[in-house]
Amino acid sequence: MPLAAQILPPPIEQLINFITSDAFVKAVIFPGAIFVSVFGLFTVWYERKLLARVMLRIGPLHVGKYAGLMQVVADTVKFLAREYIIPETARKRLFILMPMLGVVVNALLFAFLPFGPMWLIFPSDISILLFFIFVAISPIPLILAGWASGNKYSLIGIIRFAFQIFAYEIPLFLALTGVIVMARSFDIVKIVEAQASMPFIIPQIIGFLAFFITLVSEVERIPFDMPTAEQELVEGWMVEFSSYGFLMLQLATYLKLDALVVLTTLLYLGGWYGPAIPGIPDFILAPFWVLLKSLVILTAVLLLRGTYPRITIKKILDLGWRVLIPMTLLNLLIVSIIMTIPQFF
Amino acid sequence: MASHDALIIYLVLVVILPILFWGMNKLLGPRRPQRKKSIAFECGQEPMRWRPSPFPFEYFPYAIIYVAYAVLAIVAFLTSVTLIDRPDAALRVILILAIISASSIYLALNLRDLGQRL
Repeated sequence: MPLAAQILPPPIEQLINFITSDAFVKAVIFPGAIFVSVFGLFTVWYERKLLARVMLRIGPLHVGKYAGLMQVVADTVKFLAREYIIPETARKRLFILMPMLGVVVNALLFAFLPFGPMWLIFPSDISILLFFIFVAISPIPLILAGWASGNKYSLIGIIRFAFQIFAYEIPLFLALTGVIVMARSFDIVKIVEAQASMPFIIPQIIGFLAFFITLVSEVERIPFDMPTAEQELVEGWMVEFSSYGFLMLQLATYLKLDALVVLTTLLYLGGWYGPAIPGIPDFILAPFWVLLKSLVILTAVLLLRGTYPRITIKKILDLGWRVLIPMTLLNLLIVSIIMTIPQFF
Repeated sequence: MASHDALIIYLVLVVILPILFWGMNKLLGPRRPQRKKSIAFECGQEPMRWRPSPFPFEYFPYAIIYVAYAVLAIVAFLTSVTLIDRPDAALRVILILAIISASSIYLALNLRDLGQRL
């Protein structure tokens, strides 16, 4: 019998066993709640700092010891210490509940994302389909939040949101199909393992480009931010949300951005495969490569905001069926041909 | 079973987190209701009444196209997933995908000016 078991009373021993269990560490620390929150906060800070550099400004600087890192924490406290104003035209219950539901649905995306062969909250044979289901339902709480505001700008925002969903959901689904067929699996871990010799971005460059564009559109980043267009719709469907509500909606959108960026890394950039670094064990190296590659994709998405103007709703509707859908169908055709060629040799 | 445990713990945490934030906001945030604050935002003006607006005909053709493509996407998905279990059906799969891709490119190049006005 271990020494600790002899000294500690059984309830405390059980508690220690629970806290040190695999399930608890994965759900709470990495890649669970603490990591997800820190990743979300880091993305906000990184975006502000990066865009400041693009615009030749300094960005957050004073709060925190290094480069204004604690600015986002200070902002969070500021949001929580403000009055949550519920407009008289709002549907009150939905107005309070939907921002919460938005965070829950978008945070759940991380449950299916592996950061290494062992760093995964919920292993499943159909993890990519589960991820897609949650991505597909994630706009619903946000659309309902906009509708619950009872505001004209919100209404215009959610109508634009709905049109945008039309345009990008089908190409996203078809791009995922290309990856599934090439890896011969619906499990994201197996999809990454299928890229051990070559990342899928090489044979599926067309699919990757289409997936990347739909990713930017899915998270409503510039140039596809018509639903929240700041200059014309004063934040669109988010206009009536203040303090806690605004914080939750922002957190939900940033979590979705992070989850899709990590998914891109796993599906196209070879996930955790990368050069071995001497002295660093595999279980640390795997998340390191995933996060490093994700940071590259994240930088590309954020840089679009500093580079491009917003496009119109008609253009995104045209882009969807004239460019993205044919691109993804062509990608699927190329994948099928690549999969068939070995049979004839 | 450990995987289910992790998912349940994670689910409980992500549900508790927003509720916790809401509670903190209730505790920390002031509450000084005024009519000025609670009226709907309309650029500082008194809100105007709602009025019935016409159906957006302009985007109607897009709705039809995307519904058609949603069905085609399912066909393309099921056809290509067949490749995983039945490699012998490869040529037929390629033929179907080639027809769908070629038609989508042909349509994209030839259907112009979709916007409809009354």
